[in-house]
Amino acid sequence: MTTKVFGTRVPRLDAVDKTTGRTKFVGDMILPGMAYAKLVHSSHPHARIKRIDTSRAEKHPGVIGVVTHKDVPDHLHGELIWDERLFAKEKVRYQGDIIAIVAAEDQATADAAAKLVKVDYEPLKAVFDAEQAMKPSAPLIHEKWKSYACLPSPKVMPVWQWQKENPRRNCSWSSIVRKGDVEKGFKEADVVVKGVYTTPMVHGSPIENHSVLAQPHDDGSVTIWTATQVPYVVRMTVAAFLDIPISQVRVIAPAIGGGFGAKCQAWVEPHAAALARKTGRPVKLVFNREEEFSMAQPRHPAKMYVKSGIKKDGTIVAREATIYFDTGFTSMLSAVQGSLGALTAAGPYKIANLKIDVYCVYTNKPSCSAVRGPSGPQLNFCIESHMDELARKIGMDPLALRLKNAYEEGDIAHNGQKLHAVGLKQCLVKAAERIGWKQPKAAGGDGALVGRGLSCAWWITAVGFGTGALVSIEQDGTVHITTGTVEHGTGSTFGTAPMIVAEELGVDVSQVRVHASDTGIAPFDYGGVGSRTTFNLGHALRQATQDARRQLMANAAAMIEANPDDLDIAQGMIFVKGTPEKGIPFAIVAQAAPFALGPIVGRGSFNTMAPPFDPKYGLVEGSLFVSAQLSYAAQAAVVEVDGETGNVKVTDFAAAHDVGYSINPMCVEGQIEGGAVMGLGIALSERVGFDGEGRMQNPSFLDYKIPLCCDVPPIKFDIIETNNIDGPYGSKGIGEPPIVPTTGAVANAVADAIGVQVTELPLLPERVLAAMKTVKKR
Amino acid sequence: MITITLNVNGATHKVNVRPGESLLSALRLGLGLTGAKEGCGEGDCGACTVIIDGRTVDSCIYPAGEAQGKKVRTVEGLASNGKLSPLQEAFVEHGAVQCGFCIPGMLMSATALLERNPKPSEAAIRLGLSGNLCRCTGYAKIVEAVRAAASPA
Ligand code: FES
Ligand code: FES
Repeated sequence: MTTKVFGTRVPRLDAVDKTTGRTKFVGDMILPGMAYAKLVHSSHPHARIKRIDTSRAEKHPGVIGVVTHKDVPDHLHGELIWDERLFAKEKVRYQGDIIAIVAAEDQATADAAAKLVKVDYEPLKAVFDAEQAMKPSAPLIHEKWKSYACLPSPKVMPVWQWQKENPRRNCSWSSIVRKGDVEKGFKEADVVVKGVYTTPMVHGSPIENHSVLAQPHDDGSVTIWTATQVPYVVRMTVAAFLDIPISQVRVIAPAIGGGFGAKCQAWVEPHAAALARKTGRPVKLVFNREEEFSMAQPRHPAKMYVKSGIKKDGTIVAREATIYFDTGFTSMLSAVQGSLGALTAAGPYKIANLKIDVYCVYTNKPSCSAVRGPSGPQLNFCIESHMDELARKIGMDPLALRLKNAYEEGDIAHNGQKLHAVGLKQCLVKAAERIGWKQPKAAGGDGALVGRGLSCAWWITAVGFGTGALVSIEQDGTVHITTGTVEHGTGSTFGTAPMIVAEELGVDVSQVRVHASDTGIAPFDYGGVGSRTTFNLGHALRQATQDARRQLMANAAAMIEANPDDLDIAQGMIFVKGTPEKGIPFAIVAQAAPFALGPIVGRGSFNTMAPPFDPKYGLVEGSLFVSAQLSYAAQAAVVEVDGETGNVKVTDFAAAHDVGYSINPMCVEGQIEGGAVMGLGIALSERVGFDGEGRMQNPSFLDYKIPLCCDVPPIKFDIIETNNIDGPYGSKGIGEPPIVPTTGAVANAVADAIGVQVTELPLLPERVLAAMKTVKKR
Repeated sequence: MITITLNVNGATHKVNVRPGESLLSALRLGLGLTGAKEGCGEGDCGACTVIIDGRTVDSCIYPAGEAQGKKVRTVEGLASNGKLSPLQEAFVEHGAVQCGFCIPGMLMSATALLERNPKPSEAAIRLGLSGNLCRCTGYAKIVEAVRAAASPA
């Protein structure tokens, strides 16, 4: 493709405001008469509610109002499975379940009054582990699971029906893969290897805490500013929970201080809206960091059992896996977690016989959601560690083993999807090369043990949720993009979208303005989830911009008496092809258009469709998994392990990602660097701890360690382009993939250094030392 | 409420604060300077970083009253006459900004660092920014931007 704008390093349009402090986040907003809110949480992990008494809180000076379950319609809702209540009624299901919300004149008063809400409980037996929760003796967390409704979508309803026909104790969702005959496969294998891997709850922890501002209006409608990745889902959910029409709810996601899946569901917006409507005042609810950690939608803890059969030549003939994801007290996006688990547990490998069972299980813990690359880092740690175990058992190079089994162009995946634009092998070769895979290992400093590790992955670009976009040209030649997509940091909306418009229209990026994520003015978009924004918006914008361009050319043609098909645009001039010197300025045409053929408004509307699936190649049940052509990645790490302390230091790191086509290299690189560093945190230091009562032990950045600037090595990245025929300009998603292969790469590097796999994340010094002792004993 | 006098970005202001109120709160609620952010309120994340008499502080745990008689600088004071500072410019040009929530604090730490040490090594940059958490960028482009601002091409 010959391009003028694509591939160049253009600053994103929101960068200047973000460096001057002008950008307004929800927490920065103040409305006249605004009240401050505080949530009241359960102090029990599992208990029946006998009585809720809000009278003392209501009488407290400065309190404006209190809302409990009594003030809202009595029904359940949710996103995919409707198992949520706004406010706990009969039962609480975790330490943190929302009992009430209090509004006061200032934050300190709201905080004090929230403590005055009194609840009498009758404690119930609780369960905090997914595998335990499936045992017959475990307490039931959702007694009425079978009666729950789901999103009334033709895609979801049959799968939810399948779930109900295949119930398992406390299971909110299960997904299974059956392909070939694993028992026969294991018999054919020369070696069979088993492994058990564990990963803890980890947190997306954006630096901005959840923040909502709800303003009620006289006509019963409500406007909500919220830090969310999914404004249109929020709109739908608020309307459903409060029994008001969708058109009565306007949701605006202004700047968002990071999402990472911690903000990918509607959540406390309906609570704030209910309080605003009851008190008649604008209400602001901003979480503190402790609330953020202890409530906000973390990543599922996992217990993963895997078994594979392999031949001496490296052919993997069979794989069996049973995966338990701890979903917490409601299912949230478990359907997504389970469906993706069925993908990540298989891995991007040609395996003739597969049997995979993924269970998302209710426990009395916070609800886990779809944190960046849901299921990815957990299963990558399991499957890629296991791949290295296989390589070790048959004495094969780990790179060679992966190359032997990796998917290629034209292969049919385990779910029957025909694969195209498969850059997996290029990624593997590149990442390995970048850390000197074939060279001898350098000696470690201070006698440290040096290890190298490699990992690879595939990932989705979510399909089935559409995006709309409008492109209008103002009279001074400014080009406006109006779309429902959100900008939570990745740059899809304020970095890449303007480049698409500039490329198609032959204007400068600085001439473009973006108006996004306001359900009151912009066409629908499902949200910043599933690595889908550039993919969907790219398609919708291409249509919209080409539409606008046609209108512009028609206007210009009328003005200069030419045929529109003979016209071209470059550098702000419209001219008859071949005679650029006789052009007419873009801005003059834009100025005249409203009085000539009419204002220029281009429209685009797009939904990603899944490529064809052929079920004869495998059976995936209980899965909503659908993806456009997959993204592929490989990462490689060099570590030094201190033999005395067990401390792990990553000294070199490479990430190679097949992005199809890189429209905006700075944004693609930013996703790779940021995602890989987040992955390093999961590999080395991040975990949420709980006490025996389900209370979070480390809800602060002091005790929950995310990577610091001085901790991380430079990330050597390679962008592989495979030209995806389905993608806008050949591209694929890149928001999530960079976090997926990191855990496996680091774990394998540590294993290479110490001679044994560590089977639990994070790779804390004490765990590494303990693993080293098992080697010495052997 | 008590009334205190703060010198912020070269201008003097009278602000009403509650006893013990943090400087961050006084800046944001009292003066409407919302550039400095609250990410934790506990001195752990650096989103609230401002410069007081040449040194960075976490304004969320710094009592507003103690800033009296001192010179406070915030992100709003970095650009002059609408012109970005070289560091701000470098952050924009090098793609160091993603969600932007950490950026005001990050810029204040980087500004103080370069004032102390105009030609820092990469290690000195990384150490100098280690009180500021960024969850989006992996720090790579932030470090690159600081390096670029330190040695203009
Ligand atoms: S808000 Fe001050 S350090 Fe986090
Ligand atoms: S840019 Fe988002 S936290 Fe730094």
